[in-house]
Amino acid sequence: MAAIVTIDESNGVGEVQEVDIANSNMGNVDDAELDPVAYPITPGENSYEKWQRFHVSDMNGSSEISNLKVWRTGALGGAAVHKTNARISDYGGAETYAKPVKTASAVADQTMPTSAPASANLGIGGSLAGALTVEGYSDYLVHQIQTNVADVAGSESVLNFQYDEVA
Amino acid sequence: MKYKYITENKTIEVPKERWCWGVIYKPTPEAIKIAERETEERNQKLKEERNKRINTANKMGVLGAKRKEIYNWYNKEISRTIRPFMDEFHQFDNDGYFHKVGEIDQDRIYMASLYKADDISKRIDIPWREGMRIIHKYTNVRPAGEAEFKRIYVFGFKYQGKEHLNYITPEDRIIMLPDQEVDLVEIGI
Repeated sequence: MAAIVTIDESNGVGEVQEVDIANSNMGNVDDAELDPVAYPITPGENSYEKWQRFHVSDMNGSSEISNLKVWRTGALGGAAVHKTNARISDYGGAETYAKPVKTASAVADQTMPTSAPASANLGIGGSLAGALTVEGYSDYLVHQIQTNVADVAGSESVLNFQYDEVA
Repeated sequence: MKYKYITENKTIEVPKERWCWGVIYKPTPEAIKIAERETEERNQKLKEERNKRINTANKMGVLGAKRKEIYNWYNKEISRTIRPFMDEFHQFDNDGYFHKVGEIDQDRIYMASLYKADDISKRIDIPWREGMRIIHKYTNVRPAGEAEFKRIYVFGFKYQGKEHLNYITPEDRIIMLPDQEVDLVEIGI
Protein backbone atom coordinates (compact mmCIF):
# COMPACT_ATOMS: atom_id res chain seq x y z
CA MET A 1 0.00 0.00 0.00
CA ALA A 2 1.68 3.15 -1.14
CA ALA A 3 0.21 6.57 -1.57
CA ILE A 4 0.96 8.25 -4.88
CA VAL A 5 3.08 11.29 -4.15
CA THR A 6 4.67 13.62 -6.65
CA ILE A 7 6.50 16.91 -6.54
CA ASP A 8 4.56 19.49 -8.54
CA GLU A 9 5.72 22.95 -9.59
CA SER A 10 3.64 26.04 -10.21
CA ASN A 11 4.64 28.72 -12.69
CA GLY A 12 3.25 31.84 -14.31
CA VAL A 13 0.58 34.30 -13.36
CA GLY A 14 -2.21 31.81 -13.71
CA GLU A 15 -0.38 29.08 -11.81
CA VAL A 16 0.32 26.58 -14.54
CA GLN A 17 1.08 23.38 -12.73
CA GLU A 18 3.70 20.88 -13.83
CA VAL A 19 2.93 17.54 -12.22
CA ASP A 20 5.70 15.18 -11.11
CA ILE A 21 8.67 17.29 -12.06
CA ALA A 22 11.80 15.43 -13.05
CA ASN A 23 14.16 18.05 -11.62
CA SER A 24 14.38 21.38 -9.82
CA ASN A 25 16.68 23.10 -12.28
CA MET A 26 16.88 26.80 -11.49
CA GLY A 27 17.63 29.58 -13.91
CA ASN A 28 16.67 32.79 -15.60
CA VAL A 29 13.19 31.74 -16.66
CA ASP A 30 10.00 30.94 -14.79
CA ASP A 31 9.50 27.40 -15.99
CA ALA A 32 9.54 23.86 -14.65
CA GLU A 33 12.36 21.52 -15.66
CA LEU A 34 14.13 24.41 -17.33
CA ASP A 35 17.39 24.09 -19.24
CA PRO A 36 19.99 25.84 -17.06
CA VAL A 37 22.44 26.05 -19.95
CA ALA A 38 19.92 27.93 -22.07
CA TYR A 39 18.73 30.04 -19.12
CA PRO A 40 21.72 30.59 -16.81
CA ILE A 41 21.43 32.90 -13.83
CA THR A 42 23.22 36.14 -14.59
CA PRO A 43 25.98 36.70 -12.02
CA GLY A 44 24.80 39.21 -9.47
CA GLU A 45 21.16 38.37 -10.12
CA ASN A 46 18.82 35.74 -8.78
CA SER A 47 17.12 32.73 -10.22
CA TYR A 48 13.39 32.84 -10.56
CA GLU A 49 11.72 31.55 -7.45
CA LYS A 50 10.56 27.97 -7.46
CA TRP A 51 7.11 27.26 -6.04
CA GLN A 52 6.81 23.53 -5.49
CA ARG A 53 4.58 21.25 -3.46
CA PHE A 54 4.26 17.65 -2.40
CA HIS A 55 1.11 16.39 -4.06
CA VAL A 56 -0.72 13.33 -2.77
CA SER A 57 -2.97 12.33 -5.65
CA ASP A 58 -4.09 9.03 -4.14
CA MET A 59 -3.81 7.96 -0.51
CA ASN A 60 -4.32 4.44 -1.82
CA GLY A 61 -5.43 3.28 1.61
CA SER A 62 -2.57 4.85 3.55
CA SER A 63 -3.49 6.67 6.73
CA GLU A 64 -1.17 9.62 6.82
CA ILE A 65 1.53 11.53 4.98
CA SER A 66 3.66 13.81 7.14
CA ASN A 67 7.14 14.90 8.23
CA LEU A 68 8.11 16.63 4.99
CA LYS A 69 11.78 17.41 4.56
CA VAL A 70 13.64 19.24 1.84
CA TRP A 71 17.35 19.87 1.55
CA ARG A 72 20.05 20.50 -1.00
CA THR A 73 23.00 18.36 -2.00
CA GLY A 74 26.03 20.06 -3.54
CA ALA A 75 27.85 23.31 -2.97
CA LEU A 76 26.87 26.49 -4.73
CA GLY A 77 29.49 28.32 -6.75
CA GLY A 78 31.17 31.46 -5.42
CA ALA A 79 29.21 33.48 -2.90
CA ALA A 80 25.80 32.38 -4.13
CA VAL A 81 23.18 31.52 -1.55
CA HIS A 82 20.15 29.29 -1.74
CA LYS A 83 17.19 30.75 0.09
CA THR A 84 13.95 29.05 1.06
CA ASN A 85 10.88 29.35 3.23
CA ALA A 86 11.56 25.83 4.59
CA ARG A 87 12.65 25.76 8.20
CA ILE A 88 12.34 23.55 11.25
CA SER A 89 11.26 26.26 13.69
CA ASP A 90 9.42 29.56 13.57
CA TYR A 91 7.69 28.28 10.47
CA GLY A 92 5.95 31.05 8.59
CA GLY A 93 2.86 29.04 7.69
CA ALA A 94 1.41 28.24 4.30
CA GLU A 95 2.27 30.70 1.56
CA THR A 96 -0.30 31.83 -0.97
CA TYR A 97 0.83 31.32 -4.53
CA ALA A 98 2.20 34.34 -6.33
CA LYS A 99 3.88 34.47 -9.71
CA PRO A 100 7.56 33.55 -9.22
CA VAL A 101 9.87 36.54 -9.26
CA LYS A 102 13.58 36.96 -9.87
CA THR A 103 13.98 39.88 -7.54
CA ALA A 104 15.15 38.85 -4.07
CA SER A 105 12.38 36.66 -2.74
CA ALA A 106 10.37 38.09 0.10
CA VAL A 107 9.16 34.61 0.98
CA ALA A 108 12.38 32.61 0.77
CA ASP A 109 14.43 34.17 3.53
CA GLN A 110 16.09 31.16 5.18
CA THR A 111 19.16 29.26 4.06
CA MET A 112 18.37 25.97 2.36
CA PRO A 113 19.78 23.14 4.52
CA THR A 114 22.54 21.03 3.01
CA SER A 115 21.77 17.89 4.98
CA ALA A 116 18.54 16.27 6.02
CA PRO A 117 16.88 18.41 8.68
CA ALA A 118 16.28 16.76 12.03
CA SER A 119 12.56 17.29 11.72
CA ALA A 120 10.01 18.49 9.20
CA ASN A 121 10.94 21.76 7.51
CA LEU A 122 7.95 22.09 5.20
CA GLY A 123 4.43 22.23 6.53
CA ILE A 124 1.06 20.82 5.71
CA GLY A 125 -1.89 23.07 6.27
CA GLY A 126 0.42 25.76 7.56
CA SER A 127 1.98 23.62 10.28
CA LEU A 128 5.18 21.58 10.45
CA ALA A 129 3.24 19.05 12.51
CA GLY A 130 0.51 18.85 9.89
CA ALA A 131 -0.43 15.67 8.06
CA LEU A 132 -2.36 14.75 4.97
CA THR A 133 -4.97 12.09 5.62
CA VAL A 134 -6.75 12.56 2.31
CA GLU A 135 -5.50 13.57 -1.12
CA GLY A 136 -4.08 17.08 -1.24
CA TYR A 137 -1.02 19.27 -1.21
CA SER A 138 1.67 20.35 1.18
CA ASP A 139 2.40 24.00 1.72
CA TYR A 140 4.43 25.62 -1.05
CA LEU A 141 8.15 25.16 -0.93
CA VAL A 142 9.54 28.45 -2.18
CA HIS A 143 13.23 28.70 -2.97
CA GLN A 144 15.61 30.84 -4.95
CA ILE A 145 19.32 31.05 -5.71
CA GLN A 146 20.82 34.48 -5.18
CA THR A 147 24.21 35.11 -6.75
CA ASN A 148 27.07 37.55 -6.53
CA VAL A 149 28.56 39.42 -9.48
CA ALA A 150 31.83 37.54 -9.00
CA ASP A 151 30.13 34.15 -9.26
CA VAL A 152 30.68 32.06 -12.35
CA ALA A 153 28.38 29.56 -13.96
CA GLY A 154 28.90 25.87 -13.53
CA SER A 155 27.96 24.81 -10.03
CA GLU A 156 25.50 22.01 -9.70
CA SER A 157 23.25 21.33 -6.79
CA VAL A 158 20.09 19.37 -6.50
CA LEU A 159 17.24 18.95 -4.07
CA ASN A 160 16.26 15.99 -1.91
CA PHE A 161 12.65 15.44 -0.90
CA GLN A 162 11.43 13.16 1.86
CA TYR A 163 8.15 12.26 3.55
CA ASP A 164 6.82 9.68 5.97
CA GLU A 165 3.88 7.45 5.23
CA VAL A 166 1.86 5.44 7.72
CA ALA A 167 -0.42 2.67 6.50
CA MET B 1 -0.50 -11.58 -5.27
CA LYS B 2 -2.66 -8.66 -4.30
CA TYR B 3 -4.45 -8.33 -1.00
CA LYS B 4 -7.72 -6.63 -0.25
CA TYR B 5 -8.18 -3.67 2.01
CA ILE B 6 -11.76 -2.67 2.67
CA THR B 7 -12.41 0.95 3.52
CA GLU B 8 -15.78 2.47 4.27
CA ASN B 9 -16.80 2.84 0.66
CA LYS B 10 -14.42 0.85 -1.48
CA THR B 11 -12.12 -2.12 -1.69
CA ILE B 12 -8.51 -1.44 -2.55
CA GLU B 13 -6.16 -4.02 -3.96
CA VAL B 14 -2.84 -3.83 -2.17
CA PRO B 15 0.36 -5.37 -3.50
CA LYS B 16 2.43 -7.15 -0.89
CA GLU B 17 5.29 -5.13 0.54
CA ARG B 18 8.87 -6.42 0.35
CA TRP B 19 9.02 -6.33 4.12
CA CYS B 20 5.90 -6.99 6.19
CA TRP B 21 5.06 -6.80 9.85
CA GLY B 22 3.47 -9.51 11.92
CA VAL B 23 2.73 -9.95 15.60
CA ILE B 24 2.18 -12.91 17.86
CA TYR B 25 -0.31 -12.19 20.59
CA LYS B 26 0.00 -13.35 24.16
CA PRO B 27 -2.13 -16.42 24.88
CA THR B 28 -5.59 -15.81 26.21
CA PRO B 29 -6.44 -17.04 29.74
CA GLU B 30 -8.57 -19.75 28.09
CA ALA B 31 -5.64 -20.88 25.94
CA ILE B 32 -3.40 -21.00 29.01
CA LYS B 33 -5.97 -23.13 30.85
CA ILE B 34 -6.20 -25.50 27.92
CA ALA B 35 -2.42 -25.83 27.78
CA GLU B 36 -2.27 -26.46 31.52
CA ARG B 37 -4.96 -29.13 31.24
CA GLU B 38 -3.15 -30.77 28.32
CA THR B 39 0.09 -30.68 30.30
CA GLU B 40 -1.56 -32.35 33.27
CA GLU B 41 -3.08 -35.06 31.10
CA ARG B 42 0.19 -35.59 29.27
CA ASN B 43 2.11 -35.83 32.55
CA GLN B 44 -0.35 -38.35 33.95
CA LYS B 45 0.05 -40.54 30.87
CA LEU B 46 3.83 -40.26 31.07
CA LYS B 47 3.81 -41.31 34.70
CA GLU B 48 1.64 -44.30 33.88
CA GLU B 49 3.91 -45.26 31.01
CA ARG B 50 7.00 -44.83 33.21
CA ASN B 51 5.51 -47.04 35.89
CA LYS B 52 4.54 -49.62 33.30
CA ARG B 53 8.09 -49.70 31.92
CA ILE B 54 9.55 -50.02 35.44
CA ASN B 55 7.20 -52.88 36.28
CA THR B 56 8.00 -54.67 33.04
CA ALA B 57 11.74 -54.26 33.58
CA ASN B 58 11.36 -55.42 37.17
CA LYS B 59 9.46 -58.53 36.14
CA MET B 60 12.17 -59.27 33.60
CA GLY B 61 14.84 -58.74 36.23
CA VAL B 62 16.56 -55.99 34.27
CA LEU B 63 15.41 -52.94 36.25
CA GLY B 64 18.93 -52.14 37.46
CA ALA B 65 20.16 -51.94 33.89
CA LYS B 66 17.08 -50.19 32.53
CA ARG B 67 16.31 -47.72 35.31
CA LYS B 68 18.60 -44.95 33.99
CA GLU B 69 17.26 -45.32 30.44
CA ILE B 70 13.63 -45.19 31.63
CA TYR B 71 14.17 -42.12 33.79
CA ASN B 72 16.15 -40.35 31.08
CA TRP B 73 13.26 -40.89 28.69
CA TYR B 74 10.70 -39.84 31.30
CA ASN B 75 12.56 -36.66 32.34
CA LYS B 76 13.07 -35.63 28.75
CA GLU B 77 9.41 -36.11 27.84
CA ILE B 78 7.94 -34.49 30.92
CA SER B 79 10.13 -31.42 30.54
CA ARG B 80 8.70 -30.62 27.10
CA THR B 81 6.60 -27.49 27.31
CA ILE B 82 3.11 -27.55 25.87
CA ARG B 83 2.73 -23.96 24.71
CA PRO B 84 -0.69 -22.38 24.76
CA PHE B 85 -2.12 -21.41 21.39
CA MET B 86 -1.09 -17.88 20.39
CA ASP B 87 -2.90 -15.88 17.75
CA GLU B 88 -0.88 -14.29 14.98
CA PHE B 89 -1.83 -11.11 13.16
CA HIS B 90 -0.11 -10.17 9.92
CA GLN B 91 -0.07 -7.11 7.71
CA PHE B 92 -0.91 -9.43 4.82
CA ASP B 93 -2.97 -12.27 6.21
CA ASN B 94 -3.55 -15.79 4.93
CA ASP B 95 -7.09 -14.92 3.87
CA GLY B 96 -5.85 -12.34 1.39
CA TYR B 97 -6.48 -9.20 3.41
CA PHE B 98 -4.25 -6.23 4.15
CA HIS B 99 -4.20 -4.76 7.65
CA LYS B 100 -3.04 -1.40 8.90
CA VAL B 101 -0.61 -1.12 11.77
CA GLY B 102 -3.28 0.72 13.73
CA GLU B 103 -5.30 -2.50 13.85
CA ILE B 104 -2.72 -4.18 16.09
CA ASP B 105 -3.84 -4.64 19.69
CA GLN B 106 -0.54 -3.49 21.16
CA ASP B 107 -1.41 -4.42 24.72
CA ARG B 108 -1.65 -8.08 23.70
CA ILE B 109 1.66 -8.40 21.81
CA TYR B 110 4.02 -11.19 22.76
CA MET B 111 6.41 -10.72 19.83
CA ALA B 112 6.52 -8.22 16.97
CA SER B 113 8.39 -8.91 13.77
CA LEU B 114 9.25 -7.37 10.45
CA TYR B 115 10.18 -10.00 7.90
CA LYS B 116 11.12 -10.15 4.28
CA ALA B 117 8.13 -11.38 2.34
CA ASP B 118 10.03 -13.82 0.14
CA ASP B 119 12.37 -15.12 2.85
CA ILE B 120 11.03 -14.96 6.38
CA SER B 121 14.37 -16.08 7.79
CA LYS B 122 15.43 -12.49 7.16
CA ARG B 123 13.62 -10.75 9.95
CA ILE B 124 13.71 -8.47 12.95
CA ASP B 125 12.08 -9.94 16.04
CA ILE B 126 11.18 -7.82 19.01
CA PRO B 127 10.16 -9.72 22.17
CA TRP B 128 7.57 -7.44 23.67
CA ARG B 129 7.51 -5.78 27.03
CA GLU B 130 4.60 -4.07 28.66
CA GLY B 131 4.51 -0.41 27.71
CA MET B 132 6.26 -0.79 24.36
CA ARG B 133 4.68 0.88 21.36
CA ILE B 134 5.31 -0.15 17.76
CA ILE B 135 6.75 2.30 15.30
CA HIS B 136 6.11 1.27 11.71
CA LYS B 137 6.13 3.61 8.76
CA TYR B 138 7.65 4.17 5.37
CA THR B 139 10.12 6.95 4.87
CA ASN B 140 10.14 7.88 1.21
CA VAL B 141 13.19 9.69 -0.10
CA ARG B 142 13.72 11.22 -3.49
CA PRO B 143 17.47 11.72 -3.45
CA ALA B 144 19.03 14.55 -5.36
CA GLY B 145 19.20 13.83 -9.06
CA GLU B 146 16.60 11.07 -9.01
CA ALA B 147 13.05 11.33 -10.27
CA GLU B 148 11.52 8.59 -8.11
CA PHE B 149 10.98 8.22 -4.39
CA LYS B 150 12.74 5.30 -2.73
CA ARG B 151 10.90 3.44 0.01
CA ILE B 152 12.60 2.76 3.32
CA TYR B 153 10.90 0.52 5.86
CA VAL B 154 11.03 1.86 9.39
CA PHE B 155 10.31 -0.59 12.19
CA GLY B 156 10.96 -0.44 15.88
CA PHE B 157 9.46 0.62 19.13
CA LYS B 158 9.18 3.32 21.71
CA TYR B 159 9.85 2.25 25.27
CA GLN B 160 10.26 4.30 28.41
CA GLY B 161 10.35 7.47 26.34
CA LYS B 162 13.09 6.31 23.99
CA GLU B 163 12.89 5.11 20.41
CA HIS B 164 14.72 2.16 18.90
CA LEU B 165 14.43 2.05 15.14
CA ASN B 166 15.53 -0.08 12.23
CA TYR B 167 15.63 1.44 8.75
CA ILE B 168 15.64 -1.10 5.94
CA THR B 169 17.00 0.27 2.69
CA PRO B 170 15.98 -0.73 -0.83
CA GLU B 171 19.04 -3.03 -0.84
CA ASP B 172 17.91 -4.62 2.45
CA ARG B 173 20.62 -2.98 4.49
CA ILE B 174 19.48 -2.52 8.07
CA ILE B 175 20.42 0.71 9.81
CA MET B 176 19.77 0.94 13.54
CA LEU B 177 19.07 4.28 15.17
CA PRO B 178 18.03 5.67 18.53
CA ASP B 179 15.79 8.29 16.91
CA GLN B 180 14.36 9.47 13.62
CA GLU B 181 17.09 12.00 12.89
CA VAL B 182 18.96 10.50 10.00
CA ASP B 183 20.19 11.78 6.66
CA LEU B 184 19.38 8.75 4.56
CA VAL B 185 20.97 10.29 1.49
CA GLU B 186 24.24 10.80 3.32
CA ILE B 187 24.41 7.13 4.24
CA GLY B 188 23.91 6.05 0.70
CA ILE B 189 20.23 5.52 0.00
